[in-house]
Amino acid sequence: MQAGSCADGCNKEGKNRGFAFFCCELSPELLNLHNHNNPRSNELAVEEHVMIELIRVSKTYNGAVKAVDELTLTVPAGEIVGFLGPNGAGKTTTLKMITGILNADAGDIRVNGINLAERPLEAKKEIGYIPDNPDVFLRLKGLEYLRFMADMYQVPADLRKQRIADYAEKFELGNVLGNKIMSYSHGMRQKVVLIGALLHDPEVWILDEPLTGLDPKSSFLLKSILRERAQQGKTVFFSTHVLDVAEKLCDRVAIIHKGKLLFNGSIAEMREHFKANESLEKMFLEMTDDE
Amino acid sequence: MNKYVSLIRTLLINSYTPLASGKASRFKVLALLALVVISLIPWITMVVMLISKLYAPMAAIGQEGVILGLGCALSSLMIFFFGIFYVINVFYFAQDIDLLLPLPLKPWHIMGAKFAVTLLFEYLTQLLILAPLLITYGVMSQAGVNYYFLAAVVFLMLPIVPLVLAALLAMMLMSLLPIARNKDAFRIWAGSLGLFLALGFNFILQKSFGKMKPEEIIALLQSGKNSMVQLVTRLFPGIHWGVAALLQKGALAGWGYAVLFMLLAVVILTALLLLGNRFYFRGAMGGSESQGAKRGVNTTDMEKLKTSQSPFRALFLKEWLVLIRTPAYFMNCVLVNFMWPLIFLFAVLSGSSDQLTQLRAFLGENTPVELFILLALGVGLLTGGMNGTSATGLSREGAQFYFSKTLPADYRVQINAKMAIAFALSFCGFVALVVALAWMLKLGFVPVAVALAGASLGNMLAAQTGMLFDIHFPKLVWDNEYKAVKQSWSLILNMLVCSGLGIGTILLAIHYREMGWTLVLLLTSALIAANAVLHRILQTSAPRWLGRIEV
Repeated sequence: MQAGSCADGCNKEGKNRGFAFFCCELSPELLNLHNHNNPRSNELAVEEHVMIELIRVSKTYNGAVKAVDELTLTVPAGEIVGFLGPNGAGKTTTLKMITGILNADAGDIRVNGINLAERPLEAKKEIGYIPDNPDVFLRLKGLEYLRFMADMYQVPADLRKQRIADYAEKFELGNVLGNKIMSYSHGMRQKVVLIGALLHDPEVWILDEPLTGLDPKSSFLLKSILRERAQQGKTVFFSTHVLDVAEKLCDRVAIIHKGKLLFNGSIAEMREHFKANESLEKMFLEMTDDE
Repeated sequence: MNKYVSLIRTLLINSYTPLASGKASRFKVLALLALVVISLIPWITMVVMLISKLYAPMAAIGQEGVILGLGCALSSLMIFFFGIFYVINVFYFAQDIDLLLPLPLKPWHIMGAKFAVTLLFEYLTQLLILAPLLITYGVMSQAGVNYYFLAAVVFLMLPIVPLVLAALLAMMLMSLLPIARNKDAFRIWAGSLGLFLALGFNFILQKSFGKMKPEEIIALLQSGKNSMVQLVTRLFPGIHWGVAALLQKGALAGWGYAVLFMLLAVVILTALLLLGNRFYFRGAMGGSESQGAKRGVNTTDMEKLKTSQSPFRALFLKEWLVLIRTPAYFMNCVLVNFMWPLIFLFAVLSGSSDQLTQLRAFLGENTPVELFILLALGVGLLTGGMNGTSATGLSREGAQFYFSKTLPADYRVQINAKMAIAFALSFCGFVALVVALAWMLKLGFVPVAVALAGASLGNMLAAQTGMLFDIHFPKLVWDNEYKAVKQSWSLILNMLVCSGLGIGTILLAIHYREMGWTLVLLLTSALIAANAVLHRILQTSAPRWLGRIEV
């Protein structure tokens, strides 16, 4: 591939290869663009069930700062999708719009086919959300918090007990669930929030920087749970700064920069556009370095 | 010293609560300001009118200084009473302590800076009562410019002594904090004990005041020359110097007393800082929640999981647990409701038997039932307004408010749970008050039942107005829980509006008591209608309003 030109034949000039990706991504019809010469991707577009769908979604803060700019993105079912981007790229804003925390200024968001703006409660029931800051309801005891979450998501009585017991054992929280969350360490708080978001067995699991603050053992456990969920046909969509994790764990990555989608495809597809065996970190830096 | 000044500046900037977030329209901010000013007018008018009416008869017997004496004494008492809560909140509950302790600051720097910030807030409170009193007195007595300068000194010095005393009491209680295993529970108990001590202090003062024989009081009155001032200003040391400074005709003598008053303030403040240097850290350092013994869950806990609750019930329970476990919320949202029956009990117990007889004549077996209903409507509004639970319902969630938006529970259900807990707390407080009244005044079943019904309407309205204000002016950005309940515009606004309405209702009930059932019908209909309209507004518009709040 020539520097300054796009692999798809687009011959617009750019400062670097990153810009070459960027110029293609701008046109909405080319979303999931780097899949369009990939037979599997075409299949996906036709056959696979889309779990998260953002159509030309925009969000501006205080009428001045455009955090997300006409973002169109689809996340298929049964995949782990990493959402990457530098600080302030619009990752958290996007996740917050999908979960209903922020209202989109324009565009449509659908979760499992349900329009978030039209049927917010049903859409929220499809989601399990883990925020980047796990300091939630600190004065509740661990078990009280989990019971609260089970009630909110109306988890059947016979299932909640079993699920809480199973996850508490998995995450080794069983011996502190009688304590207030306030007395937990950061990692323990994260784990209890994780369990809370899993109790209703959501179709979509959205995690904002989930690995921050977890010890290696819990981190490993979380990764295996992410994989397990994808194998069960559930969708995992998470933001991360840890490129290594994204590279090893994700079926596909979406890269956002300055509110615009730069790339949405598999790591292998990304590599096709760069030199073989180049590290994701390097590709990422090139892609987002447009200053 | 530079560190001290810098710390005060930082704490002040941090305490500043903007009227509304950046997104709020200018109209909204102006509307809020207008509402605050409008709801303040009745208060200030009441103070001005009271003093204007009192001045002539008091001046005729040479006792006009009693007005100043009583004003200063009551102002000091209020500052001391609420100061205990305030100091415990600011000095010990504030989580900025964890950030300040590692800095190279001396204990007096932190304590002094926090004291200065608290004092500034007390001046704001004094503006409501003491400032109109001092100005009206000056106008009535045709005082010269010197009086107003001295009045400014008194205004500035007056809250120092009661606030220092409140701080000392708080420091004594909190120095026991490090030995407490459950810090939050200890703070809650210490806060409640602080309330009892403040009431007890008031009780002792009133008892000693009441020890004077009637003939002694008459002799004092007859002697003129403001001889009664000494009697009313002995509540706190130094008040009589402040009042004496204002009463002196000669400028020099006035300033002499003013200097004495200032010296006393300096001495007592220095004493506090010296003691603080020694004892403050003991309590403050024990403030952080420590990890106690690990507690797993037993079979009973797990059995509870077998029953599922509705989202409303789950939200109600969550609110309740957070309210009773968070010291700042417990003091300002739970305990405050049970203060009224206690104050009433203490007031009656510390008063003479004549006062009780008078009260029984006013509210007793022979009092018409309709008066109970009318008073209950007003008291329900008043106590409901003082209860900050609903008016801080969203504010208490702070930056975590976003989490509620992710829950698949209708926003209506979420606010209804918050209003329900607010109503339940106000109503329980009123039940306690009515039980105390029924016991003291030997009331029958009917007056108690109608009072409860009347108060429920007032409580309900206060819960709804509180939620309405908090939806529009939530304070979601705070670093200490106490700020959510102490520096919330919605709470101040709800307090002013509901107490204004409550006092208005009580005054109407007393002035037009001969209208009897007609007035009951009018006022209950008005309250029912207001409740219904607000309910409709909240149920239809709250989801849209809440959806717009973004943190």
